[in-house]
This record gives sequence, C-alpha cells and structure tokens, in this order.
Amino acid sequence: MQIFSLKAFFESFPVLLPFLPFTVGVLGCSLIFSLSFGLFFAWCKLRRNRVVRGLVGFYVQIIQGTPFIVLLFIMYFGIPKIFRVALGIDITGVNKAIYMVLTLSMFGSARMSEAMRSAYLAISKGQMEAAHSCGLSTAQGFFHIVMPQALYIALPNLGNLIVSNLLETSVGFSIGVIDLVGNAQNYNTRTYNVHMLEVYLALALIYWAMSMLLAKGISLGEHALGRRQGLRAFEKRERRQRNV
Amino acid sequence: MFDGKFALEAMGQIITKGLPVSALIVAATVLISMPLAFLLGLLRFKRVKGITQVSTVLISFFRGVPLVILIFILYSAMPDVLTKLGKLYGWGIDFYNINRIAYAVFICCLFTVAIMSEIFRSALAAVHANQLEAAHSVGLSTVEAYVHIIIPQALVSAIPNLGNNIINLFKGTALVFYMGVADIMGVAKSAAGINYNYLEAYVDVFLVYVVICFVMQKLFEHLERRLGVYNAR
Repeated sequence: MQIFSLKAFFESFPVLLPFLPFTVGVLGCSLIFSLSFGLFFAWCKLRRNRVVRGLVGFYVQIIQGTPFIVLLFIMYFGIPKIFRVALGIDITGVNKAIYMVLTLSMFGSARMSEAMRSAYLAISKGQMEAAHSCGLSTAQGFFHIVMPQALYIALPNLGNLIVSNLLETSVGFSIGVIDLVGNAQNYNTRTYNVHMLEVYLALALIYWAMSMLLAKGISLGEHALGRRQGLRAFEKRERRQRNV
Repeated sequence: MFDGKFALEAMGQIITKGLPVSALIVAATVLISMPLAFLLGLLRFKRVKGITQVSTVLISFFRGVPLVILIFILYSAMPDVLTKLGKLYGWGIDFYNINRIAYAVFICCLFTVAIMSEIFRSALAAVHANQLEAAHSVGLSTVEAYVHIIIPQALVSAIPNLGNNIINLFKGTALVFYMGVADIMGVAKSAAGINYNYLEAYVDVFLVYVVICFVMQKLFEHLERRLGVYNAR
C-alpha cells in the first residue's frame, strides 16, 4: 500500500472545494457581528461608568480565557437546554451553522474589542483637542481625524484576528456542521479512511491558501490607508524620489 | 436541569486526572520549542541564506493551517507513514504504541516554534542598532555583544508576547483530545459520556480554563514587571 497517492490528492479537491463557500459564508456573517460588537464593546470599555466597564471587562476576560471549542460545545449543548427548560420550545431542528456563527461572533468580538480599544488609546489626546480648536465638533473630530488613525493602527491586529477566526471555523465538524472539514470527514468515512492523509493535506492546502489571501488583502488595506494618511513609507516610488 | 452533583464530581476528576496531563503537554512543549524557536528567530534575523526562505514557507504553513487539521494529518497519517519508512530503513520502533502525549507534544512544538520564532525575530529587531555599535566601540566582539547586551534586552521585550502565546498554546492544547489524549477535555468527555451530561462537563472545563488562564496572565504580568525594572521609562 502506498504512503501517499498523488492521484487521490488531486481527486480530493473537487470533493472538498464545493463546501468552501459555506465556510466563507460562516466567516463573513460572523465577521459582521464580530466587528460591530467589537466596536460596541470597545466603546463600552472606554466609558466612565464603572458598572458598564466592569461588565464588559468581565465578559472579555472570560471569553479570552476559553478555547473556542469549549465555548462552541457550551453554546451547542446549553442553548437548546435553556430553550427547552425555560421556554418549552424545541429547537433541535435548527441549522447547526447558527451555533457556529453565534460562538464565532462572541469569540471574535471579545478579541477585536481589545484590539480596537488599544488602537484608540494609542492616539494622543492632542488630536481631539486640535480638532476642537479648529471648530470641529466631537463627532466630526472623531470620524475625520481620530478614527482613520486608529483604524490604521488597529488593522494589523484585526487582520490577525480575522485569519484566526477563519482557522477556528474548522472545529465546526465536532458539532455536526457540514463545512469544509465536516464534508472531508464524511468523505473519509465513505471511503473507509483509505485516503485520509491526502484529504487532510488537501484541506491544509485550502486553508493555507485562504489565510494567505486574507493576509494579502489586509496588507493591501494597510497600504491604501497608509497612503491616504500621507505616510512616506507608502508613497508611490516615483513621487518619493521626486520629493527627495 | 443542571446536574450540580455530577458537575462537582466531574470537576474533581478533571482537576486530578486531566489537568496534570495538559500541564505536562504545555510544559514539555515550551521547554522544547523555546530554544529551537530562539535559534530559528536568530537565524532569520541574521538572514542566513538557505534557512530564511525555507523557514518562511514553513512558518506561513503552520500559521495558516488550523491546529485541528495539523493534528489530523499528523496523528491519523503519521503512524502509517512512519511504520512504512521504518520497514524500508529497518528502524525497530513500533510507531502505533508510542504514547499519544508524545505525538501531542510533537505537534504543539512544530506549531509553537513557527509562531515563537517570529516573536524572537521581531524582538531582536526591536533592539536599537546603536547597542551593537556601542558594544563594538568598547571593544566587544559581535558574539560577545549579542550574548551580553542584545539578547538580554530582546528577551525582556519579548516577554509580553511570549506570555500571550504560551496562554494561547494552553488553550490550543484543548484540541489534542481528538488524538485520544486524556487531558482536560478528554477526561471531561469520557466522564460525560456515561449519562450524557455534556453541558455540565463542558461548563467545568470552561471554568478550569478561565481560572488557569487568569492565573497565568497575572503571573506573566508579575514577571514583566519584575524583569522590566531596568527598562527606560
């Protein structure tokens, strides 16, 4: 018996790739919630109200201290139980991807809120004061002056977190979500684990390609933002040489 | 609704049987991978010709592939592959009976070396270039300058990042139960399988992870403060 069959490796891609849009969809949905709730939690942690700060800080601390798969299992086993016991509704027929999106949103929003908060705190207060002295209102100062700089600082961290979210979607198969990995498990069971190594290597390659694409996209975003802010490192080469 | 009695019993089992295994995996991984990662980071910082390109590809691979997939590749397939190679080359080892903890440590080491080498490389780059010049100006050779001046500064500045990654490693070892290792998750899952008390078992696991990650975070903060005493304000 062969160690590794190249033919089986290439043959597994057509089996695996049709489920790629599903994974990307789950990631995209969870990113919308993660980014918006992350922004909201960051805002909450910057308030002067100690209760709000404490609650959100507690939430962020416990979510950041848990592995994703543990959180996923708790949501998957706990939410139907709560619905059944407290409300008497049976929700076992619900699409399992919803648990995935929910848990990924919780997980991502906690971590993104920290990245956003530290980026905001890195902008000196002088920026807002200068905005006020020019006659801009607080909101205008925030949207036109502070936020673009904070976004530029936060972007590498957020990019890392987005790639991390992508990698965490791969444990969905343990609750029965039929995404890339879930389908690969089914295929392995169907073919009696004969080509396990080839299928898993193909999966690894697909995830690698996706994470490299995401990382490239984020770095393009950094370049675009950097150029917009007039940072010299991002100026086009001809203009930089002219301005010397 | 929530079986509190089972939750307490399971917590006892998790702490006495599962936690030591998890701690062993994390400790072994950190002990083995830190020196290797530092060496790789140093080589990449000095831009050694052959190693930099190859290691860039490998590091991008280990950072871009989910840990579950790495675990599946290595645990499901490697005993087969290694046994066949063993027959070819005449090694005498029975790869199926190696303790699964060794496999877990091996996989976590690969993963950790990839991530930590980047941390060490950026820490070395963060030390100002004039430290090396100043060392040369008082007559130290490059090697002496690195050993006595640059590396201590780099290590101190790397501690926050390292601490973060060790905590992430601990959270990542939650996935090794797929290999059958009886760590925190493995013990919880087998205890819960008797009466299907999955929710209680996983809430126990959740509490264990939260408490331990909190304690580790405080320990690392203390270490940063202690070692950062000589940092310029």
